[in-house]
Amino acid sequence: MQTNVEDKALAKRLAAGDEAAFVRFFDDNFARLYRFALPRLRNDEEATKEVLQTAMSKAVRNIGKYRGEAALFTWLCSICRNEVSEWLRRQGRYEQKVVLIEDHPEIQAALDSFHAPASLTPERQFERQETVRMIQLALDRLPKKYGDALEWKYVEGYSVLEIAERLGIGQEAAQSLLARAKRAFADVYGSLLTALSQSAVVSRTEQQTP
Amino acid sequence: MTDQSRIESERTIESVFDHAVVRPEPPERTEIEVRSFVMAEWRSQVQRRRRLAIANWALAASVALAAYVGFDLLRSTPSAPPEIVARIDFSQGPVTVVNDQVHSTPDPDGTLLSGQTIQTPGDAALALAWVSGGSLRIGAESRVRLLAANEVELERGMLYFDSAGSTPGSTLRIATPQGSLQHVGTQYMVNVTDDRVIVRVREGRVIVNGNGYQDLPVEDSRVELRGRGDYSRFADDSYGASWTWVAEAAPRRSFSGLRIIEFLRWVGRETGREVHFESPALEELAERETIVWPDVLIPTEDTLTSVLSTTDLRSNVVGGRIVIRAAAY
Repeated sequence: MQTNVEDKALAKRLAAGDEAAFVRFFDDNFARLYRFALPRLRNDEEATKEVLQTAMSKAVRNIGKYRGEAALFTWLCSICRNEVSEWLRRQGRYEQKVVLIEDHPEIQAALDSFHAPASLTPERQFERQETVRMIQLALDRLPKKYGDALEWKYVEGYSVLEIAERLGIGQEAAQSLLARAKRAFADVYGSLLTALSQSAVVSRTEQQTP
Repeated sequence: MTDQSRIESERTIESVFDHAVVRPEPPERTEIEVRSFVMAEWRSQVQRRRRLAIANWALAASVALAAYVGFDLLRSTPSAPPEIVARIDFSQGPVTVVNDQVHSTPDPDGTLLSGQTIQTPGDAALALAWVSGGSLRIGAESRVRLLAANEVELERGMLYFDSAGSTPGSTLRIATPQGSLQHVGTQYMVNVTDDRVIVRVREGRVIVNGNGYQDLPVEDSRVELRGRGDYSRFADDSYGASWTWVAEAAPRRSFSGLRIIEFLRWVGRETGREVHFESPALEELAERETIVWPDVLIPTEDTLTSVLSTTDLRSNVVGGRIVIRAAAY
């Protein structure tokens, strides 16, 4: 079973009271978790803030239980998912659960596993909105440096030199990081496409009644 | 993979980004607030783990020492006779006192003893002046056992405790189905529901122990305890609808002949709001002038408006503030 060695080491330092570990933990995960929670809470920013406070607090309380079997971010998402459900339940009788494309079991499994064989099928037809969302999902599931580097290079148009300066590394190291990031992105994005073609899912909104 | 196919694959990957837009970032203010909140929780947990490690070591050492000297750890103490634990300050509705399964209606100015149970059916409410100081209020549909001068048990419903005026060093422990709460100079509320205990702290700090909780601190927030150490923490206001019953169950007071500033501070404390004067001159006026109002008062916004109408001051309640301004004639 693949373990996430870096994530486990970070969790251990966090539990031991290392403040640099807390900063790394928060900086690496907050924005991605925010983007995870916001659409599930109907883009309610105040609710998202409340849910994130609760979810991340719960995570630091239970960090000793993190085993490294899934990526730390995946573990955080599962906590966050529960807190979103709890928040929706507390809102009263009428609830509208937002079901996103990545919540379907096949897609979720693809995102969580991360190392399924790549199978890019760029000929796949999506609505543009879903394509944008799928790319952002894949970027968020990568280690933060990988996601950021790819976005800076291919979406915002920064040069390798500028990316190296942003990351505080040499140009060759930045080049190498970009290459690794692209392969990792191909893995995740390819898995999403494969899973989509198998499930033939479209995003929908479900209404729940008590 | 050949070099050519690798290059083509990379071009394919790059072309995907033709459809991409920059991922949205959370608002900076939100990041600051969440970071601060989570860091406080993290620090609390780190301290708790360290204290637990020390306590476990100390416990192991003390058990070993007790075994060595043959000390009897299971010696029982005889039960204490009933003692006066509180005086009734205010009573509303059909409050019942249960003593050895006998139900009775308490005297409005009577005292209460350890071992008695209070019930507040319907919209009944009760305010008690606690023997060691402080005000204990019992909300509607509640059942509270008075265990001792320093402990009560909230079986269901709502309690509010304000430790102002307590004897230094004294504390009141509140036992609930999900753990035991102890305050450190505070105003706080406890609500026992079917599946959780909700603790809201307006001022000071409350510590929760038992049922999986070890020195869990609660301050300036709302915590929901679900048992076996499980809880959720939320930011909370010290004023508003959740606290209304507390002000309405407050002991009635007369301010006739007392300074306006004392009345304002009382209303501010009872409603969880900060009193703010629009000018130093207005504050001086409140320090100087006295109230002419014959009746006893309850600390509500209506009372505030009515009493100030007899002075040269007026008020606006804005969120967590009572803003005092000059009357416009």
